[in-house]
Amino acid sequence: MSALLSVRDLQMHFPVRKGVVFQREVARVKAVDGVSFDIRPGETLGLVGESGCGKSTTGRAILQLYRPTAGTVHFEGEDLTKLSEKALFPYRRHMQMIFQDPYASLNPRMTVGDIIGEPLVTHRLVSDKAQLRRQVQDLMVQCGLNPQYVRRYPHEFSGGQRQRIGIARALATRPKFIVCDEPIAALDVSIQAQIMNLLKQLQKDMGLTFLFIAHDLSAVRHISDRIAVMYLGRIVEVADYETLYRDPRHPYTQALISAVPIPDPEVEAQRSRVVLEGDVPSPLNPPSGCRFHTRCPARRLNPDVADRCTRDEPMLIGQGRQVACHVVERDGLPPAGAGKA
Amino acid sequence: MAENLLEVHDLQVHFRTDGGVVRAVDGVSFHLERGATLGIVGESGSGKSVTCNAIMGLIPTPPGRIAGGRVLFGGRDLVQASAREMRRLRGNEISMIFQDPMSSLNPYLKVSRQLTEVLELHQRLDRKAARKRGIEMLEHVGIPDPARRFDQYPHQFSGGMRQRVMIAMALLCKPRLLIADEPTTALDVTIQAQILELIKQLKEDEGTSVILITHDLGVVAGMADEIMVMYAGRVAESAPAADLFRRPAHPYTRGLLDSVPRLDADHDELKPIRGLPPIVTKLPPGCPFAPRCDFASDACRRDYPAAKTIGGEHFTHCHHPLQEVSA
Repeated sequence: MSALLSVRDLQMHFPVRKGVVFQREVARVKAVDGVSFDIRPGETLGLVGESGCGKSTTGRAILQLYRPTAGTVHFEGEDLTKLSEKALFPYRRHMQMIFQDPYASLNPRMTVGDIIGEPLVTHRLVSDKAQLRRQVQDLMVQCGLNPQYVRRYPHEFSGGQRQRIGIARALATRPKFIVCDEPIAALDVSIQAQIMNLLKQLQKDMGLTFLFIAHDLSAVRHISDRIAVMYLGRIVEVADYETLYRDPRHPYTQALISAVPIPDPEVEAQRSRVVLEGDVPSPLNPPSGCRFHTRCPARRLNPDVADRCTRDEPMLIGQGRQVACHVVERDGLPPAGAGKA
Repeated sequence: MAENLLEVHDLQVHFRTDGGVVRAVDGVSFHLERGATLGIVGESGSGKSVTCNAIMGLIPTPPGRIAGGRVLFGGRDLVQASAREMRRLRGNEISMIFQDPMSSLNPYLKVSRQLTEVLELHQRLDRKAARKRGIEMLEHVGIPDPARRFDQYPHQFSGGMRQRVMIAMALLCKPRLLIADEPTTALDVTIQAQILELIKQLKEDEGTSVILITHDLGVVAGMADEIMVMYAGRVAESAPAADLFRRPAHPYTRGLLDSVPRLDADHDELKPIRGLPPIVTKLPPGCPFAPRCDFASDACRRDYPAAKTIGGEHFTHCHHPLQEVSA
């Protein structure tokens, strides 16, 4: 099946400027630095990583909310990075976003009806007020909101309900592709499951394709078909959710998975944990070679490749399941699914 | 039975608001054995943080007040203690670490000043000795190059390192009780693992008792001996950790366990708890969870359920517990 969305060598660099009149560029934050992946129609690709790894920037650069520094983003065959704002407009309808903070992403001075209806008006998808009202109410019902509340304001709703408003707004234009940027991170535990189930249901009903960005590995594993792991602006591993959890190959993925606490004391007591040393280095000045080499436990155990790790940037190798690591490259990558228990 | 370091009896904390009096904590009782870890689990507004602020004597009065109950720490009732007595306890015998280390550290003061202040105040150490002890403590919590870092400002530390500084500060006087209020919620998972490992290690070394407040069932699963689940200012269920996860008796606990995705489980459908979190100014009579509960009966909507013992130290406030009640 051909990809709905195809990202190649995406780079998003932000200049750091100094000076009042002549703003000299003194450094660059390489938030995203050479990211490639495909998303197939109807699929959910999970994008995980820790804060500052560039996962949200990737999502925004795909939607052209930031214009990428380099690389291409093909959506249904068209390279979005080459299009002017005007030429992009018809595509925006098909690519929407759900934000993390349901408090900050809804205009407090607009009613729920206006918030959800605005994209319909902007994209001229309704011909009259009656049709607009009907569609807004349908969207509210679809997202589990009481349509009688159409004239209320965002502050009258709880966090979970606000997230439903944000989802209804994203769905208004009947998009094909939605970037979900940490959609459950700000919600209470008992509400997170409601929102995840809603997203899954909507995907099934409407044939949506998701890029699901989150730092919560358990949630990502639950909702995604495939998962890409990011570290300091690069993708270090891609695999289907099952393989990634059962048999992670990149040392960073292994550490990340072992760090996620599991709500079961008996399981917790028996797990061995890879505790990484140190912090994520600054993307202003990422380490040479493999960006993970400063914290990598595998590099210490494999002195023969250690030099390569500090010198050469590892490329993603493999088909379907991909890993970017010199140690894995030396040992060879088992085919996807081989490590299944 | 081991000796209890802390006993909380029928604690009531009320806040006066425009919408009426909020019973943020309503009849909470628990105890903590010396050297043990208690996990308090609940969502926002469940009263878990207010409970611990009350123990620390940190309820802003007004609008808040401790309306009833006793907090026995080493035999003394902290509710009756004078402000002066509380100042002597805080930071010395009871310490607290918070979710957001940036807002709990003074950005204008070097880390050195913030660390030595506690020692000079409580332990009457001179400058030099306090400095030495401060640097030792930074090293102890795993901060590299502690002598240099000691004279830096909080903004020069990363999130995980700031939380380490907070922990160092909290442990300087070797407190008997450490209260950790969502200590890892603002941190990335790999850093969270480091901090939890550190708290565990320090607990073993110093024999400190710990109260760990969190919304993350995974975090308490690996850390706590006993777990108390709170909902709308009340205790829903309390049990030894293994019991709570294996045999949850309160439908809310069951609901929480069913609604979080597990990294080691398959793509099953999550069973969310229906409805919305309670609004603390408008709590229903009877059991506060009744409007969201699949088992709610007329009795639930009318009367708040008394504690029922499931066995041993495991009890729940529920009219229709999911486990058999022992006599």
